[in-house]
Amino acid sequence: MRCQALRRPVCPRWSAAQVKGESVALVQPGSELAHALGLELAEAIANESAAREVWAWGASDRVELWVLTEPTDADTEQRLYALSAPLDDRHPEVDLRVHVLNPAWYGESDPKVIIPSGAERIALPRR
Amino acid sequence: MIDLRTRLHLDKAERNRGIARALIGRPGVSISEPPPFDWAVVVGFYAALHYAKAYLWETQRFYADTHQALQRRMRLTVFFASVRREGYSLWHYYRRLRSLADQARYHPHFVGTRPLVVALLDDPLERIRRAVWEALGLLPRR
Repeated sequence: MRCQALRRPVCPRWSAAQVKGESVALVQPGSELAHALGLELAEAIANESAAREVWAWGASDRVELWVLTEPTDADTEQRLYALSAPLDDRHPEVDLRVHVLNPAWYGESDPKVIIPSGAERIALPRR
Repeated sequence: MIDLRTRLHLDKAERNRGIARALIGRPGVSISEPPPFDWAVVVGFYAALHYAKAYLWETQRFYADTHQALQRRMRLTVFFASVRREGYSLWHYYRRLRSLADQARYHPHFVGTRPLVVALLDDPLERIRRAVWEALGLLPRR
């Protein structure tokens, strides 16, 4: 059994009981997977100039990713959701949630406040 | 003749769609000021959810009791997953509606505006609605 996101035999989110015959050390369940999926998302949206930051957070049973944008229009927002959709297909075993944080929905507030403190910022590759 | 459960999902979807539009009201005429744009987004998403459930029940007799199960089945169903003329799939629209509904429901900083919510109800939600009605061989109601 291989973890597609990490390209190695086990995923951090799998329990030792799921990996028969192997003793598995779990390192912060979910966070390593979240990092890997965050990198995939950052790569997928790298050409989108409205995207400012990508953040990732993982727990044992799910991964949440956020794309923080400039205030942007509905077309760009929809395109970002579409660009992130292939992650669902590549990782069907993960309860994955991707949120585009468009300041246009947040009035005077900075939508960044909703990203949990334990989330990791993922560098956006710029082309 | 469509199945009763399909009809009930469609009725619920249409009702939610109407409630979402009623919540945003018209300029100067609303149940609160500012209007509850956040709840209009949430109810709009639940309209989309019931359109999806109507399709899956009618065509596959599939019933999902969790968001995760529903979404997994949508991703595996060509009707939702295939990219359409405008460059997006119904799944793309659905996941945007779901994400915005989560943001609207759980985060007090989310406020929305009338143009944004109107656009959300007129575009992704309406595209899902029309596609489902047409796929089921029905004419969308006005």
